[in-house]
This record gives sequence, structure tokens and C-alpha cells, in this order.
Amino acid sequence: MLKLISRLLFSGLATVLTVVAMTNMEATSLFMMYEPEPPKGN
Amino acid sequence: MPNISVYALGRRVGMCVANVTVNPNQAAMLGYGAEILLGSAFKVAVLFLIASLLRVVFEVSVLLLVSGLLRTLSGGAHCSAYYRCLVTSVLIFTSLGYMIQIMFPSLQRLPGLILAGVIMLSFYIYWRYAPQAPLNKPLKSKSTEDRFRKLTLISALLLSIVCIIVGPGYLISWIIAFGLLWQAFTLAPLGHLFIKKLDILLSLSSWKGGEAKC
Repeated sequence: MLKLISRLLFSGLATVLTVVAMTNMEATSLFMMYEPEPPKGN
Repeated sequence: MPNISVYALGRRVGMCVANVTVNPNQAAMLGYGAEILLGSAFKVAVLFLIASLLRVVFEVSVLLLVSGLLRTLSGGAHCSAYYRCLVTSVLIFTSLGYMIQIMFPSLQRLPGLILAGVIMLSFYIYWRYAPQAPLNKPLKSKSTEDRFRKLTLISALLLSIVCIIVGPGYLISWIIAFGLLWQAFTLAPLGHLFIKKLDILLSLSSWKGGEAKC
């Protein structure tokens, strides 16, 4: 049960991180003054 | 200190999440997302901590909303490392907020033409220089560039209209106007030079510095 909950939580976190990454790659810039290196092949 | 950098932390979080969700191929993408999320959260926390100490939370919030919105659409000058960006952003937003708060009694007595002048100058800079993407993430096509340019100009126009309607007698008009002007400044050559100099000044270990080219 605990394993399932942690799996679900991490899947949610993975979705959030992917959405943040994709959104940032589609925008010109971050909202402040530093641009991290995007992952290769994107 | 590579082990405590936001980059390293982001990559570790990405790797960890990718392993738990049994998707190691996504580690780089998740790490990138984590780096952005952690970096932004830490930056906002430090910014608001200092803003609350200086009692300029309202000013900094509006400045951040205005310049943040426009920056996402128009781009602008970048620092070459996260901590330099952190120091630069905190320095600029808190001092700008503090300056507006101190100067407001004088600003509110100025004629509306001065406020309109600030807005028109900002709008001209957006018209002339937006959008600017960083070298490590160039805009993919001319149509994307046109779309960002259009969105930048529409956002700047809407915020300018709000300023004009509210008028120079209200603090929020001046905060929006200075937010527009600061973000426009980071697009202009003088703004790039300013960020570059600040970046070099903040390169504590090497003195190499150098603004990330846009």
C-alpha cells in the first residue's frame, strides 16, 4: 500500500517536473535572469 | 562547490524521480524541470524575505508580476550562473521597490505626461528589441518569434492602459510603469551591458564572468 502511494506521489511529481520543463522550453526565457541548459535532443 | 549547486540538486531530484517511476530515459528532462522549479522557489523565497525586511513586499510583488510576465514573452539579458542571477534579481527588485516607495510622494504630484513618457519609452524598446531568446534555447521559427513579439506588445499595451486609467496619483501605476521600464531595459543594448558588468562584478572566484549571450 505504502509502495503504491509513494509510486503515485512520484508519478505526480514527475508529471509536474515534465510540465515545468516543457513549458520553459516553449517560452523565450525564465521569469528571472538565468537560463539553465536544456536537455540535449529537445 | 558543484555538489550544492541548483543544477546538481535538480539533476539528483530528476534522477531519483525517474528511477522511482521506472523511467530512466526521462531523467534529463525531469532534472531540467526540477532545476527550474527549485531555482525559482529558492529565488522567490530569498527575494520575499529581503522584501519583507525592507517592507516593500507589495512593490516587489507587482514588479515581479509585471516583469515576470513580460520576460516570459520577450526574453532579455541573462546572467551566466544561477547565483549571479539570484543576487542580481534580488538587488534590482528590492532596490527598485524601495526607491519607488521612497519617491512615491514626489511621483504622485507629477503630471500624467511623465508617466505616459515612461510607458511610451518602454513600449518603444519592446517594439524595437523584443523578443530575444537565449543562445542555448533559440526560437524555433520566424512564426514563433512573431507570436512572442505580438504577445509582448499586447501585454505591454494592456499594462500601459491600466497605468494610464489608474493615473499618476496611485502607487500601483508607478510600480507597473517601472516594472515595464526595467524589463524593457534588459532588452536594450545598454541593459545587456549593465547585466554583463554586474555579472563580471559578481564572478567572485574567476573574474571571468560574462553575460550569457542572447
